[in-house]
Amino acid sequence: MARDMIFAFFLGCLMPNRYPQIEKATKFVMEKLGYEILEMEKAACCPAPGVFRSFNKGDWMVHAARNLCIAEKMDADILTVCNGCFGTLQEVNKHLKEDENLREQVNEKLKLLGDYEFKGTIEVRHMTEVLGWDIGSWGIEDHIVRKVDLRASIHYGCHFLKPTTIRELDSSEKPTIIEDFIEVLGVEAVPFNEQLTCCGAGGGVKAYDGNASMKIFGEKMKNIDEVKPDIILDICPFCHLQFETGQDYLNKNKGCNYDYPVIHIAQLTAYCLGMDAESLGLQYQLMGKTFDFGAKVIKDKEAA
Amino acid sequence: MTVKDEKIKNSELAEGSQEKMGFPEDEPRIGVYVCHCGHNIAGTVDVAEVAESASNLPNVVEAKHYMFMCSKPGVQLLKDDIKEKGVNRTVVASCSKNQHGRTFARTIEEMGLNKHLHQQVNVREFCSWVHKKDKDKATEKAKKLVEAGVNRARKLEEVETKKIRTTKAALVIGAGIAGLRATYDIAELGIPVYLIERNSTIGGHMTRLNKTFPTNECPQCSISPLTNGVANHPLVELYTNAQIKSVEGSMGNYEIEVEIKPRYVKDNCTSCGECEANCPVEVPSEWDKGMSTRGAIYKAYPQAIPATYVRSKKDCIECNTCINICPVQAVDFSQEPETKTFKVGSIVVAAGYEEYDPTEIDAYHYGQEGYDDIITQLQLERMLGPTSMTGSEVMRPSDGKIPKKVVMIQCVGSRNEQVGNKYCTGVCCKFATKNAGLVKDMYPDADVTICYIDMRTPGLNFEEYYKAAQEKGVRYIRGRPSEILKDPISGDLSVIVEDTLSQTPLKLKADLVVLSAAMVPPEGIGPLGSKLKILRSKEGFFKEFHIKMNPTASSKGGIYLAGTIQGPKDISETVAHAGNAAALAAQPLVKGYIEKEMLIPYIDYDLCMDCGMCITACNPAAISMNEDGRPDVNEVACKSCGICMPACPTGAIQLLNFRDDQLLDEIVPIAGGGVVCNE
Ligand SMILES: Cc1cc2nc3c(=O)[nH]c(=O)nc-3n(C[C@H](O)[C@H](O)[C@H](O)COP(=O)(O)OP(=O)(O)OC[C@H]3O[C@@H](n4cnc5c(N)ncnc54)[C@H](O)[C@@H]3O)c2cc1C
Ligand code: SF4
Repeated sequence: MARDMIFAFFLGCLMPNRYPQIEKATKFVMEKLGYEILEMEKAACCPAPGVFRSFNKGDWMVHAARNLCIAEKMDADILTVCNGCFGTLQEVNKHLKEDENLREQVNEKLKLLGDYEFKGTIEVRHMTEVLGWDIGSWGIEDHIVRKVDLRASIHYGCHFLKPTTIRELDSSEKPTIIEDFIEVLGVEAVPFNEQLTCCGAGGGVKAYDGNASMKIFGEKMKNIDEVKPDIILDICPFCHLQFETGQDYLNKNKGCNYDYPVIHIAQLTAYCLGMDAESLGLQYQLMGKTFDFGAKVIKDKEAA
Repeated sequence: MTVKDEKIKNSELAEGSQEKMGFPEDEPRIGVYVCHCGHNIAGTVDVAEVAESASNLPNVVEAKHYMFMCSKPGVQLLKDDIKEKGVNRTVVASCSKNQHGRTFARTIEEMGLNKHLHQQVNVREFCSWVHKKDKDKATEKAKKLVEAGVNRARKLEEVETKKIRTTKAALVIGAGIAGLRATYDIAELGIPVYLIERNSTIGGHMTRLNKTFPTNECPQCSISPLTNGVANHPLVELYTNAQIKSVEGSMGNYEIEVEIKPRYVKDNCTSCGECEANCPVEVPSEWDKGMSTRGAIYKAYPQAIPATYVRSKKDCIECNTCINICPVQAVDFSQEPETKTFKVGSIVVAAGYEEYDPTEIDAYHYGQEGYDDIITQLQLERMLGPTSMTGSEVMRPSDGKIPKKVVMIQCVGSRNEQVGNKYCTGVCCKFATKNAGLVKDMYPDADVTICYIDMRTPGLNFEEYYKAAQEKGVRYIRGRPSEILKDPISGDLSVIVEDTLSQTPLKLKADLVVLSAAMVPPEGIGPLGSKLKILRSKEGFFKEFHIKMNPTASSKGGIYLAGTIQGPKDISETVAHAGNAAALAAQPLVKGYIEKEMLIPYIDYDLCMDCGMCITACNPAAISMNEDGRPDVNEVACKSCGICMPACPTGAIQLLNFRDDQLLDEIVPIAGGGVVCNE
């Protein structure tokens, strides 16, 4: 058991490079909720679960284990806001804790990388899980300074819940963790067709076969557009990227006219906990640049 | 009743066969016979050499080899040597004990020796078949195995066989088609039967079906001669609303306590139905799987036997309307539960199955709010049935509309490792085909689709039945649906499936989805199993003794399995299975006795510390403490398994012919040692 109320924040690759606003929002939220957030020195790519694992499962584990070891040395559970990082780190952590042989093999290889030994002393947590279950809708209420009034289409993404036998979190067919949490923030979840399918980014699809990726994504947007939400809410920077650049692509190439703001759960929560709208960084995103949360604020105790 | 009492009771019941017990006085004179089994053994093992080597072992007076020991001349060799050479123990090195051990034991018995003085050595499965490539080593091994057998034979003891008188009555648990069949068949042999059904009515699942494949007959019509036959049989006592409370005793003589819950309606009920018509309570009917409602006082269905109404205490608001309205004053809220004890010789367990509850399969959304139009096949059967609320029409539960597109999904809860059921139910492909065809008959314009992994309709008449459904226009798509989606805007359902034959992903619109749910063990099988002390299979059903040769015997003597309680079956299979269970259950009762070999453990009370480890270890509960606080063996209940021996810390308890020193002698040559235990 690692220390309470302290997290080693695993940044991953995408977020710090393309969406530093999500990183900022995450730190803001976690600190507001009383957590201490530590930097993980020398942390590297998680590495991505789809691509790396498919090529070389062994090395994928070793590299993930190296990241886990860094957090173990800090005696802190890992916090991530990315489904891919969560997928890799949670899964490898679980396998290595449960399988002694595997642990020995991985530790053998880790020696080559320096002073690392996997011991199995920490957990890997996704921010959504911490918000939904540790804090909970009941716990966040006290911290809210702004309550919004929005309709959101939620995109869970794939790796957060699946495979269910490894994640052991929520149903992958009818999850409610995000819905329950955001209701208190004033967000109404609007279900849409085939809501739980992939956004088309992961598993190397976006990089390898852009057309297939956009075909999948085009379906997704068509289904979302049917219910006309105010925002698209995601929990992963890679999905975030897909929803951002994908809408842009469809607008430029397929004659669409989408402008749905893409909001990460950290951004939404940060706003409700009092972060100023500018820091949310929507102006740096491709979609919904001028989207104004504030216009819909119905309760504002920021001054208080 | 304690096991101790039983022992006394059983000893009174048991008659000795005048046979001797223990080690015979004569010096052992052992005959050894090595079988060629054609080329099976002799092709690998040098049988002549094995016989030659055996002839040099102590106490061996004859050693021979022969082409087929199980043949008449082979068996004659034993007979001649017993008669002419004074052989008084035999060792045959051939096949397994299960295969021909009994043949040779019977032979020596014919010649006046106790049959337990024969020792079987398996040099086929254990030697020639597995060492075909190395003849020399195989021969060496065969020699050792034979020497081991000779060592064992030298110390064999005589064991007597006793006759145990049986109680001429049987108890049947569950009154579905299996229980009814078994009850009737036993009763027709002149044996009284107590039939115990936990429901308020008999007939089980069969009476809930609309039609039965492959003939699409009316199941009520097929079963009612049997339900009536049983209910009116002079030798049958039927108890509904009844459950097993405790089971004591062993093979041939059981004592069973049954708790009978009150109906709160007396037998003078004329079944007029006034009570239910005026009952203010309305709850979903369990019998109809929620496809209709019932009152707090009700009758499961119009033809129910017994026809007497029944009151559900948990649903009743005690407004007393029925008490006042009943024209014959049959309603009586003061009835109390009753406990009855029955003495029987055999028990038949026919507790049936249950339809798998698909709620745990999230992707199919069964039972979830807003997904009313996803039902199970049994629910569809109840809807189509002659007395249904919909007038036998297929209607969507959400809005009562007749569906134009029906999609059936196979293997729901079967062949699904995620929910822990690997097995194929084996009946659902047939009943889905039945129901799809029936729906198509009723609504020729409707689209009826079955999504399957494999279509399994084997057996006489069923390929034709499957074809007939296809000809009616039922569409079969090979693919296991990944999920059922509900359009959040229109509310329409669609089934997502890949047609794996054409490799096309499909989204099938469905007004009604019907899940072909598995057949799983019935609720309460766990407690019932522990009361009966019988084993279950890993699938959860009660386990048969032998899948091929004894599919209706349970793991415990005198308890038999009938129908789907042993595993999913259709009605034809259930009936045949139940008939066999009845025959086996009746045998000892018709004969009047059971023969039991007294191959039981003996306790050396000087060594025994009364620790009770043997009592804990004994599965059939054949050992108990006597009044002096010392363990005692019930010779009737003992199954000769020997598990008590390793449990005993001092070696005080020793099973006849499996005593430590006997086994040690046998092991020594195989292990390569030369010392023989001389105690
Ligand atoms: C949807 C569906 C359609 C089917 N259609 C067909 C068909 O067309 N043709 C066909 O051949 N087969 C069909 N079958 C299979 C058929 O239902 C079974 O083969 C048959 O009913 C099995 O009979 P049973 O007596 O073994 O079990 P059941 O009918 O389940 O009877 C068991 C009885 O035991 C009672 N019981 C259970 N536990 C206890 C207890 N602890 N104490 C006392 N009593 C107890 C129960 O209340 C029940 O009355 C269908 C099955 C399903 C699910
Ligand atoms: S209890 Fe009375 S009212 Fe009800 S059915 Fe029986 S006779 Fe009729």
